[in-house]
Amino acid sequence: MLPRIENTNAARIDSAMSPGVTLEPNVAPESAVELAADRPVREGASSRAPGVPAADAASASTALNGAQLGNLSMGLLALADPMSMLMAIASHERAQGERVNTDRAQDAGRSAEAAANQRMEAAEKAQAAARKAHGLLKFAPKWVKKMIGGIIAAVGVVGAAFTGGASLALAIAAVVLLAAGDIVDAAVSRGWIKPDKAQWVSLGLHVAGAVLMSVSGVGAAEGAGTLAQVASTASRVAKVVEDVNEIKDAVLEAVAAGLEFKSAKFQRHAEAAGLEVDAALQDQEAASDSMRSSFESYARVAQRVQSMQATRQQAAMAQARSLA
Amino acid sequence: METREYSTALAPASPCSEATGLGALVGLGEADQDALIAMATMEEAAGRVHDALETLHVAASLQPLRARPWTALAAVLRRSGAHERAEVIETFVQGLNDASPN
Repeated sequence: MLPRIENTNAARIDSAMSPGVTLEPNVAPESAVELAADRPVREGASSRAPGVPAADAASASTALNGAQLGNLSMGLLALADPMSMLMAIASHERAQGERVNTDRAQDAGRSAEAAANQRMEAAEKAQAAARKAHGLLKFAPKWVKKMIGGIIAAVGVVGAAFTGGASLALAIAAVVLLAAGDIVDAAVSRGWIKPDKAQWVSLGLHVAGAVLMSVSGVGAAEGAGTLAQVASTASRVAKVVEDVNEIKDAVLEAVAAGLEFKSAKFQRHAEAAGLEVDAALQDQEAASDSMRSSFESYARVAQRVQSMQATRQQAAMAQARSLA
Repeated sequence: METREYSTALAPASPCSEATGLGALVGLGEADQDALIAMATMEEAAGRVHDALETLHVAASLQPLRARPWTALAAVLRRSGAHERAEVIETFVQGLNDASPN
């Protein structure tokens, strides 16, 4: 378990979008989930959002079932723990079957024509992604569209420049992971971007990663044999988009560094996972904190899901006993 | 095939429901996203607004092109007084809905 990060930056705490904000201490499992139907909402309380319809909360309570919560907590824990995530990726890759070959093996047997076709395919996919992103961000400020266009173009360039078969998938995975990271909030706290722009940066990164996955028809894990490769790709993405003026280059560079931090974590377990990981750990404290904070956010939510599951099981058992 | 329940009290489901995002990495789909939204609703009702916001952010990251978690997130932000942030997300959701073929 990674250590908890205490955040004293006011802007960061204010950023409600961020998963890395300092939150209230986790409550004990038995009381972690308080069913709204049992506790009326106190209007106007400072720590509470007023106006939540009680019916909504009660309905939400009944909408959840134990099997779903179990699956959900497992998935979130996989995202919260680097080793689990690595294993999930490895498992996903094995399931794909046809993608088992390494980039190196693919390079050896690739003809020049095939490589050219792949470059063209990567460029076409990037163009399609850009069109889709523009549609999704039609109401966003121009600078957001410009930023996302730059990122998607960068992915296209990366996909075209690599000769490995999984390069485009890796580039896409990099952007998806950029979006999931806490780097935007960290960038705000360091003054790299203005708080009023952070929301759009975060949303834009989410869109960029998602549309790239969509138009390419690949899951983020497909072909992402090593997170080190993803980290390397992210670094390239950051370098390519450095002429996007509206967003500080440092944001993407720090994201890339964060991924390198993560890949270094993975490297420790690479042998056990049966994967090749070749990445050097770089001293990027800020990015490391950012990635750690992101992992912790997933872990906290997973913990709350588990608490809810436990509470429900206890309630079911109590009900069964009373009926007996 | 497992049957999963949905809350009718939440934001309407988005037609933009491609499985693209971190959820695809670990096999989490729309039903899981909806479960997180439901949990966030309960957390908010219990007064744990920060928890609710964090849960919704995680939910959105699983499948970012689906409007539902963003809509829920905007609603919580608005109720908690973060109107500017809510407005940005609502604008974003409008784009998602407009881009939908439906």
